[in-house]
Amino acid sequence: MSETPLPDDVGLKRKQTLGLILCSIYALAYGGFVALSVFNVRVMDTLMPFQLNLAVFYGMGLIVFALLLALFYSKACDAAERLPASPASPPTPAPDARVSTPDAPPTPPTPDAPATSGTSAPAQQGASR
Amino acid sequence: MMAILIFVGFVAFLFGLSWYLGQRAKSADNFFVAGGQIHWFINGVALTGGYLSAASFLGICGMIAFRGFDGFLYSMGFLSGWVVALFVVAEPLRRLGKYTFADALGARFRSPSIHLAASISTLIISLCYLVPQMVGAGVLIEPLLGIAHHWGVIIVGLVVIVVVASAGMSSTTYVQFIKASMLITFSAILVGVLLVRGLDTEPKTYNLQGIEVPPYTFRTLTVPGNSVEALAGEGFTYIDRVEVRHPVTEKVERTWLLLEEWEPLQPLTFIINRQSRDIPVLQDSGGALGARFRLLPHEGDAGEVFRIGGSRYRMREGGVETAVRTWWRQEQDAEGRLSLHEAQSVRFTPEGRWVNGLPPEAEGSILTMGRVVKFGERTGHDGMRGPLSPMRYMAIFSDPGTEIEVPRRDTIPHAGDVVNLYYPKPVTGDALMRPGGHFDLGEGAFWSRLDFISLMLALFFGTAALPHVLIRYYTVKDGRAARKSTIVAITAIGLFYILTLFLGIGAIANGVLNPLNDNMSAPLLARSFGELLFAAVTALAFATVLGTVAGLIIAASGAVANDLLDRYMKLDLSGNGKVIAAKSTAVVVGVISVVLGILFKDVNVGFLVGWAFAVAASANFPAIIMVLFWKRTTAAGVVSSILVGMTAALAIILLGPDMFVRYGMKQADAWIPLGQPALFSMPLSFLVLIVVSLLTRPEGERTAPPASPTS
Repeated sequence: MSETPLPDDVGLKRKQTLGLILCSIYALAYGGFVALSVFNVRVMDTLMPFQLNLAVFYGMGLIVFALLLALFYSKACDAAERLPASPASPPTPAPDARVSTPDAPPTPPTPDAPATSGTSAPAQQGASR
Repeated sequence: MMAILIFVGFVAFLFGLSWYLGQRAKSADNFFVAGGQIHWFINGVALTGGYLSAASFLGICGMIAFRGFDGFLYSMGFLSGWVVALFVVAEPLRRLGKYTFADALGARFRSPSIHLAASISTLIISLCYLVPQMVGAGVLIEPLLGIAHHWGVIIVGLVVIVVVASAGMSSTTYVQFIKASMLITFSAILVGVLLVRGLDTEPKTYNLQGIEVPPYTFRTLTVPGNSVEALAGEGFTYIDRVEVRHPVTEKVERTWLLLEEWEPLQPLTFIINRQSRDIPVLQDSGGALGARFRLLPHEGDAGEVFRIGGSRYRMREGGVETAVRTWWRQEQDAEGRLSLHEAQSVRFTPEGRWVNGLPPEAEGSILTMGRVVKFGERTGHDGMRGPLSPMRYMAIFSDPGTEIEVPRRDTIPHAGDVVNLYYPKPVTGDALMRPGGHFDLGEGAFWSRLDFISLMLALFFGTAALPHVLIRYYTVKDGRAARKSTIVAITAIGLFYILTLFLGIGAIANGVLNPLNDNMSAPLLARSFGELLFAAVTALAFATVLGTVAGLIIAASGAVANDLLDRYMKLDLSGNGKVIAAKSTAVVVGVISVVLGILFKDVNVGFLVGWAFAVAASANFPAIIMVLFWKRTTAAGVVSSILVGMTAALAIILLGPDMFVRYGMKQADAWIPLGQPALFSMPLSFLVLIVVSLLTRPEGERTAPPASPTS
């Protein structure tokens, strides 16, 4: 995953690609857990370091792995945004963005206008479980 | 009483503080969106507060306590959803300049139908979320105030409806921050004291309020000569036998025996209305008060049998006995010898609930269950209490040699009544700590395996599709701060979810499992460490429920007022009219969720939330992904995909085995053998979107030339 060249990652497109790659890596790890559980659940009894079984080790590992990937992603994006081509300003529409409206000219997302339409979900509400 | 005072004080403190800070901060309403001033760390913790609700705390801990590792699957899945949200959906959606699913759709298509579809799916998903929150509220109130579950649900419903319908909700950002910090801190403290207490095989006995009662050990009988009639020599009369068969294979899974024994009642002096009265009570073998009989006026000759209500009594020298019928689980060892194991029971009769063979007027009670029977040798644990490291605690539980008892329930028909039987099921450590406790992952369990895959799929893709998750990622000004906040949130949420594993298995080891309701495991565990911890943890969880319920109801009312009435029906409501519509919706949605919260009271809240994820992953996720990544997507495709995905997911849930149990039927009678819908409904939704988009022309779309990069 670290093959993505960070200094060249100037475009939003590249950030998006990196996101997709990282997500695929995580999906593989996550899918691996599901596959092992479905096709050979006994493997989950394998003894791992700290005398934990594989299920607990893998499960906790996935949580830690998500954090590591997120950290990596953030660093990569930070690096991209520090480059002159992309100053620290709100993101702008990418070349392939097909979003512009005749009645509302394309505006970069401003922090003052959250959820002005749609479900108008308030900023305060909990995304909860 | 002390617990209630601490609880009320704690909740008042939390809300008082949030109100004070909210007032002080001028831009309270735009706390996040004012942007920049808020440190990303605080923002991240607040994100966590919005994300972790009591359902995480109650539902996951409870499912781990009853089903072992399968409860932790929810933790893993809930966290993994953030990966999809952060890496795939967040950046492109931000690039669209929109913050929610409906906004993004609205930005690209000028189609009223999209607002209709978005509002319906928001309503349904919010409702799916609300139900477990309500169930959780009742769970918290029940042991605290000692009142019935449904009153807890009604109280929370009323409070929230009043708050939302009268004033709307002020900023909960601060309360989210404080609550998340404290919930994680107190959960960590709870795990800390759990580890310091260590593990032994003799947990204390508690009642369902979590209050310690004299220890009781459930009895075991050996059947002399394998003849149940011979039990008469031991004081038991054989009454009946019921076999429980596998719903599909019809193989006998358990055999239950109903035995009757005569128990002497002892007069015990109670002070009632400042007068002392002798009340007949039942004492267990340890001399502890087992039950209190309110009615027993009779005098007669020794040996005379009389009947009051549904109970029989027998006069004897110097007192009276009552006939108690208890259920015993029959087991057969390798040599074919039969043994019987006492279970707890609740019989539902028209006159009321008979608990453990005692009539309704005797006020008998169910005791908590769960314990470690013996420790395996792999870790060399000596079975004595004392501090253990986290890894060692987990290792001891994972040991194949460790034997653990967890509560299980059988529901049987008997003599025209329904009887629920609660018995300890022995499981080995390795079986408890690997997937398969809830989902049958064994050979031949085809549908159960699909359920498992389906759930993991829904959790993975559901988070990014929840109408109100992404907005939290965008309520800070700077993308970098938002990402850092997200990392704080992932760290905090991940840490919390790891704690849930300890809380769940700790609840087993400490014998605090309420066999009637697994959601109570974490609060009852806290109570076993004292009133202070219990009250604090309960108050935090309760504050979470209140905040979450209010937020969800606001989301639902917003959907109706803005999307349905304003955008779709074009009622052109005035500001006032919109507020009235939103408030009316809040009341209706609130009432529906209270009713459903009562109906689903004994279902695990984590499991219920899983359904909300399935609906979100099926209704919204395909639309979001395709709008972002497939240029040929049309408005008609999006609308059909949302409606078909949502309908399919709901249909599979409503016609599936879990709901059939709710309808009072057998699992095997379910029309659809699948309990978790996402595996089918999500691909179906994708398929419908693609087909309909290809069949329709993108006319409703806002036709603008591709935007050139702005500089």
